[in-house]
Amino acid sequence: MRAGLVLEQVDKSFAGAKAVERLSLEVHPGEVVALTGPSGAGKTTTCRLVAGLEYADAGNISVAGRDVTRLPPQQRDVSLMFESFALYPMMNVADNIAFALRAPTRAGRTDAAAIARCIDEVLALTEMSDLRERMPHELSGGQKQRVALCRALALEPAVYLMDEPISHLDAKLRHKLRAALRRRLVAAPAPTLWCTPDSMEALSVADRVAVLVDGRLQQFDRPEAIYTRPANTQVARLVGDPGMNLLPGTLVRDDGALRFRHKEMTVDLSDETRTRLDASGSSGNVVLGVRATDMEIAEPGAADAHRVEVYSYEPFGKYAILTAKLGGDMIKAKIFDATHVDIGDVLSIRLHGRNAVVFDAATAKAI
Amino acid sequence: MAARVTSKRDRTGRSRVLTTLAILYTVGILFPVFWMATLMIKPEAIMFVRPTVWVFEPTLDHFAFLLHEGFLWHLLSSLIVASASTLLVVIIGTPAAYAFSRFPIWRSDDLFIFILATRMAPPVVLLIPFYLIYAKVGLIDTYVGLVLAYLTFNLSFYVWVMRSFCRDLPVELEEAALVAGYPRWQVLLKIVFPLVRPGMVAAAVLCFIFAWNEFLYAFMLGGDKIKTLPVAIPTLITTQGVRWGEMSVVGIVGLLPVLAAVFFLQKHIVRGLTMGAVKG
Repeated sequence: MRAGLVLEQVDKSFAGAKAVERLSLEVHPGEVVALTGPSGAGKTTTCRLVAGLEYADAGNISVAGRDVTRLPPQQRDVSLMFESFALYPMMNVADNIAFALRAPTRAGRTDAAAIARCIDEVLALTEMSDLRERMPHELSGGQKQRVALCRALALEPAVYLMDEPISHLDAKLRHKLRAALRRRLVAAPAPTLWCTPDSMEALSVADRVAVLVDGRLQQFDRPEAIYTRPANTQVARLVGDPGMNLLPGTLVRDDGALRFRHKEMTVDLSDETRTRLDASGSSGNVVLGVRATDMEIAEPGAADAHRVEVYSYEPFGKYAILTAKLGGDMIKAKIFDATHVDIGDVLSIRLHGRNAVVFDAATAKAI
Repeated sequence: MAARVTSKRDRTGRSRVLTTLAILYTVGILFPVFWMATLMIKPEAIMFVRPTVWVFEPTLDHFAFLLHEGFLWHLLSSLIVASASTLLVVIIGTPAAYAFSRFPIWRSDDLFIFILATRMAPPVVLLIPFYLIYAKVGLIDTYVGLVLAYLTFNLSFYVWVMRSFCRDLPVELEEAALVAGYPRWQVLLKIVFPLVRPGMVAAAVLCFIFAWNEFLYAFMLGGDKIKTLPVAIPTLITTQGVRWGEMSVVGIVGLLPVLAAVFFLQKHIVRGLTMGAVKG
């Protein structure tokens, strides 16, 4: 048995609908693995399976070298933070946090002084120290979420399960807590499974990211790899802000160079891509994935640029997101030079093929 | 601006009229109780003279008569039967309601309707079977017999009310406690019961009042050794005439626990009716 959290070929369906399908994951002690995917992808179900609130139809789950597949939740020693917070309404903040610490399964592990110290520490971490006597109904949504977070962090479990731990916080606190939480979880001797529908949050907090769509694991890799080399078009579309642009077209080879030909334009691809494609021997219909950051506005009439019609323009300050029509396809570009653009303008856009990913049009998998 | 002032004045005017009407209605409703309270301490001789005597020397004769006739014992019987049946209803009904709301029970809806059906038949229909069974097993005129009879009626009502209370509780609260390491029975004790307590109190008070006021079963299944207050009252209709003063005393005393229960538990009852507000 391996230490940490191990899921092997776990299946779970509800009333015939597959929620999680043959899911295998391994999270090492001290490692944070982010589980990301659209809503309904099976993230929460995975947490509940590990926590013992649901039982797997097939497959095995082990925590810290112990097979827990059939164990009731009390015996699994997990710390689960609920997306809905699940604060006990009749207990104040401090008692909510202490409740799990006082559980019979932890009898003798923590005395009253240690519990008080622990509460102080997690409240300080989440900037909630002045609210320890408050009742849950006196807290705002963000404060409730922080209490739920404190409750999960106060324990020293065999595995941390965080179901959207910072999604309801305001942006400033979210950024601050994201880093603080990661530091704390990485220092802990237990593995962490961090669920979030926000792929960028997943990339930023995790050592490795698992992308789940429709209950199936699409890709499980380091954040950089998920971002630069998505395994299929679903991951490409999901990860990134905005997701990758996907353009259908064909590959053309002429005297050693590899080009992608779209009905409106052609893009030169990198040598690395060419080597990879030569090795796989595939040709024909493909989908080209280009990050929004690999596009820029070119001077009008530039030879290597393409005319597009602006569909929408969202200036965010230091960058802007430009959505434009290129032939029949919509593309999103992240523009860093602040030129104001109006809807309906016709611009020249340059696409860089250097970081592009080529997907097989038939299988949607990266080549 | 002027229009708003007028409408405000209209509104206070209307509310004043409504308040007056409400006061008049309350006085009308409470007058018999007041009348009963005066009869408690009115000497027999001037009880029904016309014109009505409003100022008189109070007497404690009626109380003395009742004490002599052993009405304290009947009061105690009423208390025992109503409290014991209510206590049992809460002890048995709360876990039952919880189970109905949470666990997949085989044919749970049918079973539930079946439980509720015991409440649908008029009580008198079940009286004969009850009597025959009780006569066979020797439960006639026993505390156990009466408590069991009230239990059957109140339990279905209690389970019915409490099931919806339990259903409204977010299940995550219990799941959080389970994951935290508490066994199921402690989750019930520490999380579920404190949260449904307003509902438990409200439903239990109604069960108590039902058992306290019940006459038919108490009369048929008890009535000899075990006499509850409602059964004891008719014994005051004697061959020498109706003992109105004594009857009033028993009536007022019978009213007290119900009033006390409602006053003390008012907060719980109101909270119980707005329980849906509990959110995780």
